[in-house]
Amino acid sequence: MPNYRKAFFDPEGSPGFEKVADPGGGERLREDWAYDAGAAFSGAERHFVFAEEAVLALNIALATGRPLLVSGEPGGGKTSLARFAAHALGRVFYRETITSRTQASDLLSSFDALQRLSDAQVKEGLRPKQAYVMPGGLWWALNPETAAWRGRAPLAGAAPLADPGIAPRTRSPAETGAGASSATLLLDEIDKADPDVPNDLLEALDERSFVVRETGERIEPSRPELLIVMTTNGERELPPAFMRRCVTVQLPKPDADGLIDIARRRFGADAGPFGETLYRRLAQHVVGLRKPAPGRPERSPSTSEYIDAVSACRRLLAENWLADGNALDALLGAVLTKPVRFDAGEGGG
Amino acid sequence: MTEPRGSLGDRLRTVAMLAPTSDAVLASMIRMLEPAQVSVGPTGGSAATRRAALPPAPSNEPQHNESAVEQSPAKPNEPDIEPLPPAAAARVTILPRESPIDLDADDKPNPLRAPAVPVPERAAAAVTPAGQARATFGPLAAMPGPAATIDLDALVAAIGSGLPLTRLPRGIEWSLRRGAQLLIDRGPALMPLTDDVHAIERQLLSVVGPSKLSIHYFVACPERGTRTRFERRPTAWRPPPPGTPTIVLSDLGCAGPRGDLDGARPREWLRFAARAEQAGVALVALVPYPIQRVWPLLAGALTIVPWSERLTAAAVQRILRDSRSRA
Repeated sequence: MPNYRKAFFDPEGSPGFEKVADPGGGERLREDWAYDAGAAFSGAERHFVFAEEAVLALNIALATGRPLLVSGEPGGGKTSLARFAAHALGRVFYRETITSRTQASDLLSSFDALQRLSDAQVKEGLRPKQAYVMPGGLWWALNPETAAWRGRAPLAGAAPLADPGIAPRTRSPAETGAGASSATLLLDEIDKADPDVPNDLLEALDERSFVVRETGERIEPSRPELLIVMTTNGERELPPAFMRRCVTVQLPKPDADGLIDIARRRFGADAGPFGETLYRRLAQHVVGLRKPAPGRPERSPSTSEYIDAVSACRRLLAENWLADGNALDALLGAVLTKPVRFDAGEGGG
Repeated sequence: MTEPRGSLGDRLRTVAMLAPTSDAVLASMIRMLEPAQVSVGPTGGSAATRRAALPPAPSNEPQHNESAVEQSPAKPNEPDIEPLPPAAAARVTILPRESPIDLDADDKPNPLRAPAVPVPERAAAAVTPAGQARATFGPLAAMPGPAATIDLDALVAAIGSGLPLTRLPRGIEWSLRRGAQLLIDRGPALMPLTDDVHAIERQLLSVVGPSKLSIHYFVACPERGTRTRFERRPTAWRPPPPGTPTIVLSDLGCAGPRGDLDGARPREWLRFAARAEQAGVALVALVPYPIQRVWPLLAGALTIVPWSERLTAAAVQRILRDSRSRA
């Protein structure tokens, strides 16, 4: 009997999903789901494992209509979670990567005042204000029609802007029950922004609408459903008012068996000349590095670094590049046990 | 005032729509909707040890130590336990944690290790409540820079006067993007305030971010050398890039044991302030005493913020504004 009704995001029986066998942790119900996005994603990057926590959190976010804030180690699959969830749900996917210079208004709309000033110098060069508005990611995700025209009314004599959203390519919306009218917006690394930015987004996130300052137009959502996923590496504490509006989930680190399962799905059962031993040995090495020890960097290797290590070993071992242990150590040092700080070497250049 | 918890409506909606049949899942649902108990630190736990969809309890430690967090897997928070109100939470003593490098591993005396004086048991009473840390400490580390928006007043004034525009006037915005350097006094004068110092360090880390806050330790005065927690020996203080705020957590030599001949004298601090100014560094001193206790010579030469449990964001803003207007 299921532990809850996966009313919105139900991997069971959905195409592309496969239940991950319980690797033997045995502590509790484990119901992680591996997803194969098919040809829509290139090569080995088409696989993703949805941890049970992530499935539950996605369902809660969709049930409440709240943004989902995903935390976890860097390289732990936070960004991929949003991308693959959008694909599995058959939703258009938008992504905004937040930087230290990002302002809340950048996610709504920006205004090219310089172009307008320049046009104003030319006789009859000045166009309506709407022509100088550039829609941000949240605008596109809420209402792509008005975003394309930079406002509610089509702009005379101008072509609409191209929608930057990524549509799910291989699976029709009918398959998942959600129309392409639904969207997922990823605000990646929200903690990189200045502390005021999350607070400045509160109204737009709450109301799912905002006013374009320069034209005074209120943009209302045309999409009935919008899932907003935000990721954080915990660089900064996020404001309490912002946190209150989010559903939160912390992605767990996969254990050794989980890592092996990821490697198998990504690279196939054929691990090259060393077979499964390679996956296992590297997974055990990564898990071992998570334990604190004197002289060991505090930062432990992430899932993506484990994948890098497997990938490098598969390619280089096959070519006998790593016949000696020193080279293997160097490789593992380069992709797994990276130094926290770099000392200035002699004769640097 | 208690931190408001997740909306009751959200909880009801979630339970009605997802119909959990197990207590563990129900508890997880409530926790995912519970903002006050969420750690956004890069922690996580291995799958073998994780509990059912449990975000770990917020760590009281600075978030730059992943391994320390892993050592003690987060315990689940019971949903029926009311979280501490911010003021009370801030008063929970933050015990000093050992540096990952064992400073005592070497038998030789460490010049940066404070003499073993008994530390009075004392709660971190002089620490800003967690909810106000951003407002209080943010301005200390914020620096002005050109904003993305145009300074329309300046633009209109320039065009109106018929002058050719050679540069688009931009507005000013205060930002933490430059990061900051934090210099912490490990001298005997601040030993009784160790809990507070750790709490402030933690709060600054949460506001500025571990990757942007460079923390160095010194004894008496940074002029005598500083070290990071990765270094065993102090080296000469290296100022951060010009324009980077530098926050000094120290008594500035105004306290300390009676007859302490090793304490810093005002001249030493003035030399340090001069070096900082020469390097283009914005220096602010957080002093755990009223301004009247600081050497008058230093009070006029440095921006000094006396910190106590009564320190407010408005007071910090006022001190910084006054200092900048003097400059």
